[in-house]
Amino acid sequence: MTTVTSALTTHALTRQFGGLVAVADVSLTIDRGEIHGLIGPNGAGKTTLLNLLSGTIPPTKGDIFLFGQRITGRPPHEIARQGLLRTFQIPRFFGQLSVRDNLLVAGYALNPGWSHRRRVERAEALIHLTTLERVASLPAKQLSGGQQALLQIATCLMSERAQVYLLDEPFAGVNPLIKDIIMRLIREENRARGVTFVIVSHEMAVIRQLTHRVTVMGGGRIIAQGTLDEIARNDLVIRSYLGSSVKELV
Amino acid sequence: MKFLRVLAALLLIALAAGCAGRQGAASPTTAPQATPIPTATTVSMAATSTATAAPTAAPSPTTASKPAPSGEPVRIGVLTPLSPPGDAAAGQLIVRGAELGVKYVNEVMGGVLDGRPIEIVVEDDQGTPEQGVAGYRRLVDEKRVVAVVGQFHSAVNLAVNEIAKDVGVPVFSTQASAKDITAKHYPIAFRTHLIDPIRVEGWLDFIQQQGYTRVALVAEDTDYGIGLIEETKRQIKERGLQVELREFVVDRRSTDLTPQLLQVRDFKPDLVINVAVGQLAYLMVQQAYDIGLFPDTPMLASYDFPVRPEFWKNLGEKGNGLYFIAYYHPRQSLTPIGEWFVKAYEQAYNEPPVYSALSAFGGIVVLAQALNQAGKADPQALIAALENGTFESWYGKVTFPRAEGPYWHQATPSLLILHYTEPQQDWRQAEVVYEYQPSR
Amino acid sequence: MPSADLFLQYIVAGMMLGALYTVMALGITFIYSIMKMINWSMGEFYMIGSYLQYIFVIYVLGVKYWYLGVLVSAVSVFILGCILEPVVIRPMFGGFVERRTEYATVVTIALMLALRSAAYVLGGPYQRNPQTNLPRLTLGELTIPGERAVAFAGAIIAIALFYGFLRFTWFGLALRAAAQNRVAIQTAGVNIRRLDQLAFGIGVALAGVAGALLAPVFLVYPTNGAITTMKGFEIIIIAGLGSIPGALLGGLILGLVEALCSVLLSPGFQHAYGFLLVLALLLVRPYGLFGEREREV
Repeated sequence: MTTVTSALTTHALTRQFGGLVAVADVSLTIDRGEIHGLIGPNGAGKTTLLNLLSGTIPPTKGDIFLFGQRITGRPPHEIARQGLLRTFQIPRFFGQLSVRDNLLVAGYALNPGWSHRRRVERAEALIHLTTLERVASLPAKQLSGGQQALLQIATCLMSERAQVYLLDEPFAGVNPLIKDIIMRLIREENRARGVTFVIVSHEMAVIRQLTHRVTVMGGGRIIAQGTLDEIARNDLVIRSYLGSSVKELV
Repeated sequence: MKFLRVLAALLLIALAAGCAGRQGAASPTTAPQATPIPTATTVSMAATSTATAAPTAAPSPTTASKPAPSGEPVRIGVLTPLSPPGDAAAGQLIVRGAELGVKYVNEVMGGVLDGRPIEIVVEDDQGTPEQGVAGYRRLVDEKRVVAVVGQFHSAVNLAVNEIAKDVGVPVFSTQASAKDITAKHYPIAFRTHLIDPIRVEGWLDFIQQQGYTRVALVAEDTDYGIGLIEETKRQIKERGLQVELREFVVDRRSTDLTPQLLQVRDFKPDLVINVAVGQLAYLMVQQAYDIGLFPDTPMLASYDFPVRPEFWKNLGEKGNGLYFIAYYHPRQSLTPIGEWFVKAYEQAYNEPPVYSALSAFGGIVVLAQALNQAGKADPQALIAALENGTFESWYGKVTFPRAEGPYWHQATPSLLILHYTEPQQDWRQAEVVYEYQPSR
Repeated sequence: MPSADLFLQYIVAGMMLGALYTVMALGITFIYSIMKMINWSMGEFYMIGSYLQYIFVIYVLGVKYWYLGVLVSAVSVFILGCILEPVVIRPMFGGFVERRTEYATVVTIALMLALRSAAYVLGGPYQRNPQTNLPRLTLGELTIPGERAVAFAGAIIAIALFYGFLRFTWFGLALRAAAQNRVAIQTAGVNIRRLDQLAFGIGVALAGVAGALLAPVFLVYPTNGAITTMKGFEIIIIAGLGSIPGALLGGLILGLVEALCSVLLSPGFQHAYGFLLVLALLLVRPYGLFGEREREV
């Protein structure tokens, strides 16, 4: 069923909302240590797929395996503790808590064995890496959109054990400076710890720079899979989604 | 925020429900009734039970027994509060009294109508007019009772009488004191309890006797409380008394009476009259003590809740010094019927009888005598017999004449004012400071 | 014009009760902020707290140790809340679609009726009073009943402990975080069901503390929580749902307004003043003094 080299595998994953099939029969394998792009037009089912993978909603049918372990239907906090963390397209954080406390909440929940000091050190290190020092004591809701995106990713990185990160549009509405910081964080975590990323994004330039492989979704199904160059040559993909923009890229 | 509006609307409803409680009047011995959140459906005790004292041939304590009654029993309904929001504690006592009434009639009197036994059918009116009316209908239509005793809450009694006046089965107010119950002159309305004008007469006599001139009347905002304020004012004027009366109205749902009591203290009265019912009555005593008003200033409770066993448990020594109205006192002289009851009650319950039970007992015994005089188990004949006859009750002879005003069909027991002179005092040892002499 | 002594007495009395009502309001607002549902059965947990205080004082501990009774009652109500939450409340959080508001009203009102009925059946409609051994305090012209002074002090301690718990512990941090985003706290790896249980327990324990502290002041009977709960809800409308500093200030304002109106106008409408304040405030600030306009996430 699953091989040791796969970080995340799904089998015929399906989610219906009433009559609408948001995710249909998706079988996907993401390798360990891979940075994987997930692209597709609006409504293609990308966010629903992330919701299924992270346990935010249960699937109607199908199975999900994390490092070979079945996690289908588990509540989100358990999946998080098993090493799969995610971010949201609209950043979700604790608005009235300071940036530092936001990190500490995740630090406590994700690393129950750590000492308080170790958590604080990790938080400070991430604040430094994300250049959020000046706003570290402010309530998170006062941050700019880009800073909030950074905070979300930093929150995920509070876990040392997490091996898979699902990032939902981490670059949307983010200025180039912060975009660079996020990309550097992703690369570094990937290189240093061999962490797997699944990144949903519309920004082809970023996808091209960051990802090893790409999955294209349309109408809840997988249309194509491969490197960006490979899928750019796929007629179906071009017709249904990419149009001329990919050609320009290639 | 939408939610806060909903919340506000609900609170408004609660407040309105509280105001409606003004109409739902309490009789003098009521306990908690209207609470901000409806409780009417909280407990439904199956309360239709038929209690028949077994007509055995055992000799009675006082009189030589007659042959055990036999034949078709004559049924009398007991409609009384047995679950909240009614005063279930009082209803329980009333049922006890009625059961002993059955025992007396069947064992000592040998039944009614040439040896037929009587039995009672108990219905719970829950202290609410709707349940009272429904209960009355069940008793009459299904159980074919010839009369209904046990009415306790004035508001329920008034509602029941509106139906009963067309149905024609008489209703006895066992402990409901609103004037209008009898003042409407319905043929079916009878009462074996005192009426509020007498209560007022009693405490004005007491005020004169003690030489008080400044009196604070702290009353709950029900027909009972407001009615007593008005009656007191009227009688002070009528009697031309030199009494400065000030009234303080309290929300009956209140738990904190401190604001009113502080004003009472500021008024510096010679006497505070506590016209509250149930827990409000207790809270008034306790909180008056707590702010240093009572017992430095004497307080008179408007009904006999201090005789109940929980009084000292609730108030401890804070209750010492309280004056209170009672309708019966163990040192009062009783008829042989009354003495039989006291003995039987003490034997059955191992505690001295209290008024609620006596009043219900009296109602049953009087009804049995009236049935015999009527010669048949028929409500119309029974009413005629009650109006014309003279009957022996627990404290003396009673009649139910077609008298004027609230004295219509009214047999008034005594009214006493008792005084606790030491903490934990048994109410039977309390000082009797006043006894009402009927002027009519 | 009332005398200065009377005036002061009113203000002191108003503030003291205000603190107790605040404890109640904190319980309501706390449960709301975590679980996003109103617990309509708060008054019944107040009632249970007062009965437990009565039972512990009269049958177990004795009057001398009434303060231990408060502690034991509060802990017992907390445990009861933690037991009831998974049974009664959690099923409506069922699955992953949380449709709390649709059911919370029905479920908690049912719980209210059930608990009240249980009290009637087990204890009867009688009033009870766990006595204390506290004297009446006299400060110059002021007379303060010992029970009330102690209830006030107890309320302040309860508020301080509650604040300290939220501010300085890991659970407190997690609860504050959950109050702000239920989804994010789950994806951060926190078991929201456990937090709900804890929040419900703590919220009802606050009501239980108020009940235990006020038992000797306002007596113990099956519906004794009604007034205090109503005040708690009024404070919340004044303050805005979910605001803890707001609840503190709201309690203060409500206590003062009721006291001042009682002394300046008439004490007969004591309960109406707070309500008029609530209505006036809703016209000006429909989301309360400290509440935020509803945000859609």
